[in-house]
Amino acid sequence: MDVLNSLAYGFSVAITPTNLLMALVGSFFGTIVGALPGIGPSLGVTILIPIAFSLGLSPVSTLILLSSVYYGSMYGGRISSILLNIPGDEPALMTCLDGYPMARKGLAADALAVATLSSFIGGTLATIGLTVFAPFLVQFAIYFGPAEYLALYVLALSTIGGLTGINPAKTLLSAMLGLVIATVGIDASTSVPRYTFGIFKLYDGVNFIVAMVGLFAICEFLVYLETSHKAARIIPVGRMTMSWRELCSWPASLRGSLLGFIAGVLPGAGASLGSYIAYVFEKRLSDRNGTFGYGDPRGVAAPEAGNNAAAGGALIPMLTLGVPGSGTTAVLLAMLISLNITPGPLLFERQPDLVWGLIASLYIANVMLLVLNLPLVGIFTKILSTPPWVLMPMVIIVCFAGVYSINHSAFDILLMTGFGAFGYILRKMGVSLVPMVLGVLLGGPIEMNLRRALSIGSGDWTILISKPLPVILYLTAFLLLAVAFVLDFRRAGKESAPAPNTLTI
Amino acid sequence: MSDRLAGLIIFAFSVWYGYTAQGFEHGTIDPLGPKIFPSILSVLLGLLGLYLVAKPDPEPEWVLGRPLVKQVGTISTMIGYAFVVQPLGFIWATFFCSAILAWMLGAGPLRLVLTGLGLSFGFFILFDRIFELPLPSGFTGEVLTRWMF
Repeated sequence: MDVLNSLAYGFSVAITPTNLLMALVGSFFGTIVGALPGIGPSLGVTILIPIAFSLGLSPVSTLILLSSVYYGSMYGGRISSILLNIPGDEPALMTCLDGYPMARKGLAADALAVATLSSFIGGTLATIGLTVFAPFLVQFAIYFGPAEYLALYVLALSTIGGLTGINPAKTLLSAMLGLVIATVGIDASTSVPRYTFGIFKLYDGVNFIVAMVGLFAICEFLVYLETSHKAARIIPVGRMTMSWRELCSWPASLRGSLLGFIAGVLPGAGASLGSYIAYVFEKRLSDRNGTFGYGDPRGVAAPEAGNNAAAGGALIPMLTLGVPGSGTTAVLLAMLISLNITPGPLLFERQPDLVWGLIASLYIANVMLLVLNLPLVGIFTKILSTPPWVLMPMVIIVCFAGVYSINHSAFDILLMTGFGAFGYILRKMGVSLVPMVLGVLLGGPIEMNLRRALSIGSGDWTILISKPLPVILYLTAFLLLAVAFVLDFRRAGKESAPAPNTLTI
Repeated sequence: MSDRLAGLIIFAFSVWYGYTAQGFEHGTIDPLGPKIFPSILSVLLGLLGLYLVAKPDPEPEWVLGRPLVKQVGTISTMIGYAFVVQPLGFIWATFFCSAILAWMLGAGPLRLVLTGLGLSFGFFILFDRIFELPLPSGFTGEVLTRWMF
């Protein structure tokens, strides 16, 4: 009953006019971000951070706004998948497989409705999961000391590439480079300037929002320039023809939600993997007549439920342990740290309004998204036909204004551009940028926890592995890495293509 | 080939990074000090660099021709933006930047001017005036601000 009390308290926080407005604005903006190809959830959330700061929003409202964008983008991705056969963002990739064929058969409205309903089911179930499991995990995490945290960060960094098929050495490399970037600036405990080259602006270190905007937004734009984009033909939406029972596709949605949720909670997996395994599993299980890939509604429902459930699941490790499991949750974490809020088990005790207000808002945002995306889907299809020569410069200018306003420094714009170009080269070489962002973010905490652990142990390094939990975490990290390297060697033995696209979600 | 080259660069960087770390002196009783953590990183980074040299992936498909020109153009435009935004002010820097970007994305002369004007004035009013996010105003921004309020 404790949980219900907390949730009721959360709703009292979430139902204030400002927070309701934030959930609505976030949901609307998020759906647009999701729908527009080339603008993913991490980018959408990142560019809003400086604006949210300068508006002087409270931490609760900021978190609600950004999390609603995150949830909304999972809904929006389906629109371009179904109507254009171009995924609006990466988790929506699997929705193309059956969504676009449905639309070509004249079932566009039905496909959109199936995707919305399954998104709602996935999103709501994941939020329930978050409500139930997060407090449970917090009780466990409260016993974490510096050694445990250090091990957890190592686990998060070494598994973020997961089993995505990307060369694990490059994933580790990306994380290491992130940690290296995090060492720039004045060392927190000894005040020694490190790697600043005497540049005054680097004494404060590299602001991770600047790094993120460069690595996500500018890099994305450079990728976008690779192909010349013509105005895509949007399939007209039309009317719904299917019954409500068919539209809901309950079994597929429920299975997709469960798989997606698990994928979301695991570090390093995220929404893309959630929708992928949900689709593949559903296809194995239900594709008896070979209808999958030719417009089967279940092939739309499963991945959509999967990616929305994964988005909710990914919030669990972020809120309870302060360890982000994906690119977008890393951005949310960065935002919290910038507000001087340390996520982790103590957050639930010290700032219950923040945690429970957020959770309650996610329920509300899901309902808003259902309403926005069922009857009002026409608005979003209109926005989808915005020409790229307006849209892309607009994104870049928002990045400029946002990054500039953090420190009022044009140097940050230069730094952001540098990160964009650097990230682009790495991405072409099959290096995922998410581990780098995590590295930049976790570099400080990792070094700090290493210091604390060593202080406790009076400089004795064996303190790091003197308890069972850190040992288990290190072994898990080691095993997962070993599996990833073995898989990579097998793949290299056969024909091997470089990873086509790196996960950015 | 690209991977091998990148691996070598990373290895060289890690040597420099680790060497520089040895110069960080400190006098406190901090058990770790400022140089141990970078030293650990430099060893790991160096090993990963050598791994890439030893076992490179297949050559990635680098972009050439027009897209490359556009990408280089974009980067140069952004670098230029960083240098002119304070002296010129947000409005005109943004006007030129967004017009150039719109041109590279295939907008005609009228459209790129309209995009530039819309984005520069629109975002200045939205961010600087409505959101109160101070941007470098420049002459036009000053005039606009006085005229609006």
